[in-house]
Amino acid sequence: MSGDRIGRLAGGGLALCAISACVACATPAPAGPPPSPASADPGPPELQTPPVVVGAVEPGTLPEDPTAFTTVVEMDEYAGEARTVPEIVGDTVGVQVRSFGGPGDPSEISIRGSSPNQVVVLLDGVRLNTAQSGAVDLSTIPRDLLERIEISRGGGSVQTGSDAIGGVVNLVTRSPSGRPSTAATFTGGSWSTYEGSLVQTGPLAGFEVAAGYQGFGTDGDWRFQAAEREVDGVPLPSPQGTFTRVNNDRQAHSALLRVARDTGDFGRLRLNEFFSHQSGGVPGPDSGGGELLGQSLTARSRGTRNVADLAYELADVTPLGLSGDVRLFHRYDRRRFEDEEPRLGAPVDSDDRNQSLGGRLDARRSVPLGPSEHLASLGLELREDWLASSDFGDFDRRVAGVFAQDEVRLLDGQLRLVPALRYDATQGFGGEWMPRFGALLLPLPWLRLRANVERSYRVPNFDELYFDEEFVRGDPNLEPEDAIDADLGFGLGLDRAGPLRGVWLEAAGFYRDIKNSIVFQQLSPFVLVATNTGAATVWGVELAGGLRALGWVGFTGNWTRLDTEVERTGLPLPGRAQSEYLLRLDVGPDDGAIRIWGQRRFTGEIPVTFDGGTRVGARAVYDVGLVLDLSRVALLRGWVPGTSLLSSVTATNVTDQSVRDAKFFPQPGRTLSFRVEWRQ
Amino acid sequence: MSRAGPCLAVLLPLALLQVAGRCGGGSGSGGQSVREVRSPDVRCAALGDEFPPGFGFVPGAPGRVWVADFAPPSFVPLDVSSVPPQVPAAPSPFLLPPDSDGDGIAEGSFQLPLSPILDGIAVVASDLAFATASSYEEVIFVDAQRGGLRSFEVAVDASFARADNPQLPVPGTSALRTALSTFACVRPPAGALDSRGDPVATSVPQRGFCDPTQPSYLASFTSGAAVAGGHLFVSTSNLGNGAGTSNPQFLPGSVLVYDLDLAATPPRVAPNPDVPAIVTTAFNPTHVTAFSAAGRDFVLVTVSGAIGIAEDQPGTPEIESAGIALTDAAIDVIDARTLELVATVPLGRAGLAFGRLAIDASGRVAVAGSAVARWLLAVDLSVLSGLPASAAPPLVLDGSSGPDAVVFDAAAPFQIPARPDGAPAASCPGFTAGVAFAPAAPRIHASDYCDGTLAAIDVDLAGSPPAPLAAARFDFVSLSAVTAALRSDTLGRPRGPSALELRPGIPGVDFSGPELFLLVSQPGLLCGIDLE
Repeated sequence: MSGDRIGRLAGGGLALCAISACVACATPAPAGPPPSPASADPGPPELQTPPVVVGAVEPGTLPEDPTAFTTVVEMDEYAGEARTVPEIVGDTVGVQVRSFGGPGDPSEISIRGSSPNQVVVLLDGVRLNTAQSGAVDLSTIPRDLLERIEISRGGGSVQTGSDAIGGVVNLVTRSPSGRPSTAATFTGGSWSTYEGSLVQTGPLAGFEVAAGYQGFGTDGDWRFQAAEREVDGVPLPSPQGTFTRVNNDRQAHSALLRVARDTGDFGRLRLNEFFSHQSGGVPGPDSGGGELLGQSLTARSRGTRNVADLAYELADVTPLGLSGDVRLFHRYDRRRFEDEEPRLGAPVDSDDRNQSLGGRLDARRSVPLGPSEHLASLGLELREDWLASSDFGDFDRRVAGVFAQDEVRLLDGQLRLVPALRYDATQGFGGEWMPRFGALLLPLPWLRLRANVERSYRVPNFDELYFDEEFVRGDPNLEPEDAIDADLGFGLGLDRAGPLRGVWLEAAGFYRDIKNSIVFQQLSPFVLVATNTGAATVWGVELAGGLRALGWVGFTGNWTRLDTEVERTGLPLPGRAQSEYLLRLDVGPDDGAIRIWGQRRFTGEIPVTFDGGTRVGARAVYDVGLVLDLSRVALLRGWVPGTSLLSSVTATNVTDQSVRDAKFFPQPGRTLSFRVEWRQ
Repeated sequence: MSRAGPCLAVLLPLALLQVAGRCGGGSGSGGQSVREVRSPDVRCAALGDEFPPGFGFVPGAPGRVWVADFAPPSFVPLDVSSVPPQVPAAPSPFLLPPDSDGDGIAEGSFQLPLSPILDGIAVVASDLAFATASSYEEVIFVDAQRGGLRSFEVAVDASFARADNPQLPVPGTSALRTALSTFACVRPPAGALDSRGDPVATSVPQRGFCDPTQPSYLASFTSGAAVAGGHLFVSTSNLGNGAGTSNPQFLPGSVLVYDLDLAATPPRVAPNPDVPAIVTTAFNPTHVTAFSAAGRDFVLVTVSGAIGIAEDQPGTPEIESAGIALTDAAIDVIDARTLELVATVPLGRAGLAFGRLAIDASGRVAVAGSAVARWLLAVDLSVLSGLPASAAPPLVLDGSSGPDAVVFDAAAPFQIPARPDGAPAASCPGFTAGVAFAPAAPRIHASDYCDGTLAAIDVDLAGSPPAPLAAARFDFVSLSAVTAALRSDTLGRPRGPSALELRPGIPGVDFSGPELFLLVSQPGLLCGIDLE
């Protein structure tokens, strides 16, 4: 079903609702005092200090990692803005998102120069990375079903095990609540792109429930310019004119059900169920000849994901003073790729089914010992991953992990030392120890100093081990990737600083030494093979901050500098931009009645190949938007149903830059989106 | 209070949403991300992409070469008189246009999804080069003097059926075209088998017979072009199913024959109505080389044999991925006047490399590389002058039914030494991808894709020795490293030397600077090597 058709159906439905609302408007209002206007001044925005996760962590989210550099993105911060999950995550310092196209097209994440399969992505604490390929496509994540995104940069190996060399992203879905609420959104934009969602929370039959649906569709037929090439300073001819992305339609449906219930004083039972399905065309790169620049007219893909998670959260009431949770989870992923007429090779019909089944036990206890307080954590995780691949057979792998962490609080909590250790036993790879030490110093109420050092590793995935199809081979003898990470930095937050409010600043330096990086490379004239390459180092600086001035103007920005080096060649790792910065300006009153925002994102030069000879030039992209809360407009106050009705327009890539990422796939030019968000 | 306001507040956003989907966005015309490529070596010119398909010197234009680039398909002229080679002021590099053959239908379009993938280039005159392309099978007419494509009159005799050449003009007509489609119907002999031993009658994949009256198929994987005896000869490998496996299917190979009149204005080319295709004696013809001797014109066909990829052996630490020769290779000999395949030189499981034969200046010996080993194979061409104009079946020039022309074959190849720190044998045991004779001396230069080396071998032709030349007359001289070997720890360094040619003329007399030029696959480079 095309995006256009979804749009017409949903738009028609909403129009009917609007008409019904207008009919209700025509009904005389009952006698009584007029509705009071919205509260005049909600106060200054929440202090944007670098977040430190303390106290109880919502079960299913990333377990305590108090010393890691973590960014928590509340999705409500982007209320009204037509932004996707890849775009929102890409706004975070230290994070680079590589896109293979526009909305709905695949995106992959890199944290502090990692590869995409070196980032663990969790959905309410359940790993989304499959044992087959490792990387998670962020475009498959429905934005409106999320409550927040937690991005831990450089940490998480102790809590999650293998693959967290770059860090961990925990996607937290809408929480079940006993308080009824309804949120509905609808977005329409360029290229017949439509998106709609409905999320309902509230009590039901004694349970707290959150249920939601999000649908997406796009024709994806955006226009682009052919890539320009320059060789040794000499421009080479490029196809002239404007081309259209073909076979790039995409549809996605996602559904969420979360149910929770307190079981007396002892704990809480929780069930999460998440389902998504995507399908669409795969045009591929535009590096070929012909009228369509080699885009595929026939390649199609479909994907289905289901994540089920049952957990019991134990409250701190036992004689031992323990709290914790026990959970069972299951994840199913199916990916189909079909191409009847590939440019090279035989017709393709791949069907890969990945499953993961496991359980996890976390226990925590607070123990005072003399002048110190200890928050001790213990955990056990068992997991089995299966792959049934039509291309290269069936495989499975068992993983068992046990971990322990002690947060030692000294000096009345001003100094926290966090040693942690994990042991993972992975079938076929034996055991690995992952020690970690972190420190957090709070010398002043508004200042935090952090430092971490950690060992992390990544077991080769099934594609890297066993792939065997035409011109690509895996190597079953691969060694795991092995890394040492260290970082050091500070964060400060001031409620007020003269005329400025909500001033915050975070800075960090990081270093990673990684060995045995796995890369597919040509090892015979005919075949690409997964290989362990040599050592590489990654180091860099992150700087992020924000403030609010005059009650109307908000400024945020971040800058990441990244240097990488392959030890053998002295050349940079490909695919990582050497620098990125984001500057954002928000203008509007504190009550959020109206907000105009604009941002500039700069991406520096990106080396494309290991030989360092091919690079993508630097670029700057501008996005702007206007958000209007109709419920706060004086003329309409009291007439607009619900607590808020946001109406917005967003223009991305305002200057219509021809953007190409490291993989050199074309991306859309200027895109316009309108969005309506209603909350009750 | 008016209710129009609140209704408008709700309906207006909805209306905007309906409009939004019809709001086209931009087209990326506001500025470009440029892909910049720099050469890592002062001797080399960077090319636009990896794995450049081929290059060739332009006769009569000193120091001028044309390079075929892979993605996007394009042609780049270079002046190799400078170090590194430079793009000249004129002619300019140019892209293959969307309608490469000028038939009014753009390739790679909704109407015609296939698009040409460049395979190689053969410069046959100062103003003409033939570039071969697969997928949308064709031979492209390149103006080697001014750049761009040349128009030829392509005619099809009325005796052909439409299905014989579906992308050429209707039989009985002609049209101006800038490329010659090689989707030609091949009719193998009755009872012909494919490389797996299955009858062609039952194993032709998918599209079925182009001639409904007999087992037949459209040519595919256009691999080489040569001009001889007033004809254009085009080899097609005819790969069927199973590419990239240990046992791919090759259908009987073919050499397509076209009448060629370069003196006409415009030049004229037409499928030969009597012999439109010659089926080779072995599978997988990968190139054609024009050769003249004793007043006769021949076309020597490099028939590589079916080549598969070794399966990985789970019990070994290496990843086996070498090429394996599945069937015998040969050099087929076609009389360019009678258009008959008059002889074949069997070379065993040699897995001949996919290039033009290297022939010494005296025309005595032809040398080929191997795609499966670090070998050179050679045949003695002196026997060709005594061949009959017609022979059915073709003479086998191994001493059985014809004179012995085998110098080196798979049973007794010329072995080039391996590099001490070379590629692992299990994955890359050798691939002598580029072979060329020095213009002025009987010295062979051969590149090895796996080890990244350049070998020099002298050939003693003194004294008019009898055929076949003795193996002892080939003397290994030197081995030098020109790139890194194909190993897991060399990622990022230039690797994979392939096609090579020596600059026409006498070094130090006709030109100064490098005399040997070779393509490097990763990254795409054209490098000049000073042999002194």
